[in-house]
Amino acid sequence: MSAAALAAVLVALAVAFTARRGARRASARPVPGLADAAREVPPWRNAAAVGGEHLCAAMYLGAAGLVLAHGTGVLWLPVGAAAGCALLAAFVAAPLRRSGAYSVADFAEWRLGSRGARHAATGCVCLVGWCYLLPQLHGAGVALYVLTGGPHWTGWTIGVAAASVLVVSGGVRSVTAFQAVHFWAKLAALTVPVLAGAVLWHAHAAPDVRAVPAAGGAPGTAGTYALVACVALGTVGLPQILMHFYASGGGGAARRTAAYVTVLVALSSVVAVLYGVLGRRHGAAAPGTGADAALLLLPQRTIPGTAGALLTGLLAAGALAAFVTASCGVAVAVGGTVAQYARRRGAAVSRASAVVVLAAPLAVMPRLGPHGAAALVTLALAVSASTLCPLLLLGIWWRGLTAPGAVAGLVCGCCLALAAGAAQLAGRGAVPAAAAAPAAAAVMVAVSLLTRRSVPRHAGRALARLHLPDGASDRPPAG
Amino acid sequence: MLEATTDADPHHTTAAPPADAPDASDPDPSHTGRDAARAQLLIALRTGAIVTAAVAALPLLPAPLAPAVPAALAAAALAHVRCAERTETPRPPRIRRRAFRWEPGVRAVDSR
Repeated sequence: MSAAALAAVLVALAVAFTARRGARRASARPVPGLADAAREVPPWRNAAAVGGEHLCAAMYLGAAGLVLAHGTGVLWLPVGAAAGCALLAAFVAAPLRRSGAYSVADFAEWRLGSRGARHAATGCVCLVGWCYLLPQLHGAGVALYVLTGGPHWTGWTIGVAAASVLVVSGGVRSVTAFQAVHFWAKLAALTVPVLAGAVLWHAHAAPDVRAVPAAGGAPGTAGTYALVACVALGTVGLPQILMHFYASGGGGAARRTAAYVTVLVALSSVVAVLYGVLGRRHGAAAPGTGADAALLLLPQRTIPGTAGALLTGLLAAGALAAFVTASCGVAVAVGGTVAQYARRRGAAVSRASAVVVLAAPLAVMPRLGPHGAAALVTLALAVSASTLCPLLLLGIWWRGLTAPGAVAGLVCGCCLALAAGAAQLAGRGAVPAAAAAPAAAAVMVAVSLLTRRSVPRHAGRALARLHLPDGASDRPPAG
Repeated sequence: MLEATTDADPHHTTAAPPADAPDASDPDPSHTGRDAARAQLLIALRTGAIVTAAVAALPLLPAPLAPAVPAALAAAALAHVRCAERTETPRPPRIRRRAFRWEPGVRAVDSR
């Protein structure tokens, strides 16, 4: 990689940080109805921040890499994410915001009135967060490899160090504005190289999408459905995304935020399709981990000379930014949940917890084997789909959920998802992972029905608070 | 490098489980919320059905039409927001104005 590409990386990062400073100056007002200090973030900016979480290293490299490897028929990753955001808007966003809970663990304790439910939810949040960090580290390793040719572990270490510095310096406290600007920067870093490549391609040969070769090794119809279900349900339960609704002004604003995220995720999926079409025309398809690296090298293959190197640098800078953004989000969400167990309260404890959360996956990475970013992110989403998603859906919409039912479902979902995820990484398909989610929900319902005497007394009032429109408690009763 | 603000700060929520005694932040006890929940659930289920149908069409569509699925999902989410907001804030009933009917020989009188 030439010095020009490294210069492009520096320029891209400088632009992202400068733009972020501009966004931070925007006015903010306190969130009404919350005792804790917080700032309301407008729906579009909050949606861009959530989009920044979605466009993580795994999605950045994984979605486009998958399409590059298998053709436009394997859009399950961005489509599943968009479907998950639509479900989030429909079922979860507004009630969760009205509950006033910052994290899923807070929600579990508030809704079920049980510390045990909180502990189980915290364990699941940690597991999901750590699993989600694995593909981010993988993305950082691939990006550094493409830029410098060094071993992957340097990318992991540098990535964790950079994210830790941001966390310790207090940067993640402004995570919303940071991620919102990074989303647009990453989208630009993804779009500019592919548009430049497409223009050159068009100048030399007319595009013919139908000429895309047949996909090899792509999941079949059942596999595609299972993967989409996994990703969609997993997106509903991702703790770092749910955290953002806390900064919305109310239930309606949170719902609007989730709907806007669907639009943004759909936008990024179009870019993935463009990469797939362009890359396959140039014969850059290589399934597995190679697809992620092939994606980063695509501009250099398409456009020879310095311009290609610069565009490759821009793309790699976007991958690094995607890693940093997503890692900070996960660290804040998981660290904030874990820090509530510390004797001392305060920002320092949260930051220390976040650094520990960031460093923990480094122990697993060398033993993980050669898996693509898409496979690793699917594992994290499968765990989320089998644990936090049923907890949220049943907790919001079913009055009869009990603490023993929730704990049993979470434990069962964890075990099933890990077993199914391991099977999926071993190449046995995603159908078991998708089946773990309904199985966990069924366990929650069955145990709750068996222990129906322990339905919390405040369940009716909690559900009223979740579903009554914003400000309904201030209005006089009808009639 | 990055100045701290309080956006999405991992502060500890003070949201305790709703107590038996009425709480200022809790809705009025006369609002059970069942009707609101039922109405919202119906809209959410309809959106869920649209999402499921769009996702189910993904493997069946030819490759060039695949980006239509995320577009349909985005449209479904935006439509859900409109429907849910309309349900939460019902419009007041429209007051029908009596149509003025001109009759020959009757002079219009300015009531002002």
